[in-house]
Amino acid sequence: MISYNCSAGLLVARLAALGMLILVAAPRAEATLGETEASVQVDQAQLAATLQVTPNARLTVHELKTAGTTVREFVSPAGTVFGVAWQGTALPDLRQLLGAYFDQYLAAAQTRRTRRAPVLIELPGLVVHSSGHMRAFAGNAYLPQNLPQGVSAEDIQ
Amino acid sequence: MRLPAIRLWAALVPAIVLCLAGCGGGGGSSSSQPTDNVQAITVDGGPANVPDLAFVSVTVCAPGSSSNCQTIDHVQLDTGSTGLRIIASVLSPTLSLPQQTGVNGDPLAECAQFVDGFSWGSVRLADMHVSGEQANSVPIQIIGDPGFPTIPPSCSNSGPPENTVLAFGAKGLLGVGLFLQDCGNGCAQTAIPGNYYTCSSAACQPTQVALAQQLQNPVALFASDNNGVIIEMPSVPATGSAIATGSLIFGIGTQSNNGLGSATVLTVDPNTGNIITTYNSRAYANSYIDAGTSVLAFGNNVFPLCFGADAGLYCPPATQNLSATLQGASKGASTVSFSVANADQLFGANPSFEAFDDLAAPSGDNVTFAWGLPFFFGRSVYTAIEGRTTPGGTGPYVAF
Repeated sequence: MISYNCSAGLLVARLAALGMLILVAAPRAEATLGETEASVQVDQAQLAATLQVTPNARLTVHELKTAGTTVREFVSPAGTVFGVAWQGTALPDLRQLLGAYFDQYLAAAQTRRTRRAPVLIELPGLVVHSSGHMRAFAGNAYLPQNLPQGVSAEDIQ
Repeated sequence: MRLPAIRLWAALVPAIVLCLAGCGGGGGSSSSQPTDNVQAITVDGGPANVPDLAFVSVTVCAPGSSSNCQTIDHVQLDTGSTGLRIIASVLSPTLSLPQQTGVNGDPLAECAQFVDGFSWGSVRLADMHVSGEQANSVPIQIIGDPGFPTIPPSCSNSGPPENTVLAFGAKGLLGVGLFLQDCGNGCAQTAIPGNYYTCSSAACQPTQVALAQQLQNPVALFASDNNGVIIEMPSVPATGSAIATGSLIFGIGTQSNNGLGSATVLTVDPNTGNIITTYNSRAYANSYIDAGTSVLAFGNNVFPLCFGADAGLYCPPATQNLSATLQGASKGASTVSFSVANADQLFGANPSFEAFDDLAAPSGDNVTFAWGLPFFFGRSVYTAIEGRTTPGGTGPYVAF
């Protein structure tokens, strides 16, 4: 697991505030799937989203709202983001949300025989699903091995 | 195992037909002769050998020109999106289409997001001819336009790239769905990352775009037959077919060949285009009828999944004969029978087949039920455009 670099995160947030994120290429402190709860705030800055946090016993939901999409990030009691879900008129920045898992998703999605169809990728350590159509997209991604006790994949939406 | 190379000839042989004079017979508006409103549909795998994609030919011309035109075959027919999109590499260098500009005067580009990938390119104006119908000065997308080589991260980070004929599976996309524009009010009011961009010499930035400058449903711009489309496909055997040919008919109740007949009208959610499907006692609230989706897609682990090359499709031990009820967002309902075959067995038995009415896949969730092209075989499916009057009521609706 990648540890969260606080100073780099602040830098990203500041650059985002200045509208200079285009200049930040490689060294982003990627937030997100498989990372710490603090990484959600990097996502919030990167996506220019509002954030609402709803804690309960089994998990904490961080809801990020942007112009086109609502993103929910699911955090375990141990403080790890184990799932993300999205719904809206546009697809979110999945590289930001999936972090280190984005390239796995791309590789698996591109080897499919079917095209123009909902995507369901089930790898040993990663599940990604994307469905819908223009104006109405939905999907989620989660780490099956990191689901907290009592939480099922259906909760991640 | 299928051999994509066998089908590559399809991409090479009929590729480009330059239309030197009188493209598509457009422009005529005499009332004595009905407009030719029927365009042939072919399901033949296309340039990337993908089963269950429906293709049509479309002619694009420089705005106002009847000679600077090009007919493009294997443009995928889609009722789940709006607007004409062409892959740049199939366009003749002599066909110059004017660049659209955004609110600040900079060139306008678009990120077209699809469920399985994105397509990036410029927005340009063209006249479009299909059958005898014509739409003038339509904003269209030129996917993979070499003039816009740098894809903004907020676009490329949404999924796999589909910017070439092979990756896209077609030479273009003809979106003749329920809506007048591809994005609509959302993009007219706000700059939404992953949609429209204005591109200065330095970079492309998300931008808002007025409705009239967005990609348009070309059918809505026709002089007549402009309230929707009908897709008529023949039945295919349960084992599939190497090729299937059908008709794309423009207009609903506007001519003698496009009446609603006994079709059941299902209203759709005016924001999403969705209906509700009830299957096996479960209501799938995000359901849609879409010629541009290549499978029936529903549920998560309803049936065993295929492995290997067909991963992502359903592979039940034997063909499942099923039924479901499709219900309109506010009115209309119809119960249909459908089948889910074992995709491995379908492809294995006839490696050259491309048209199937029983190809299915998981949607990955318990709310989505997509009625893709397999649903269209053996049916006439109507797609009525939002706000347009038809004998079945005002769009948006679907009917079959």
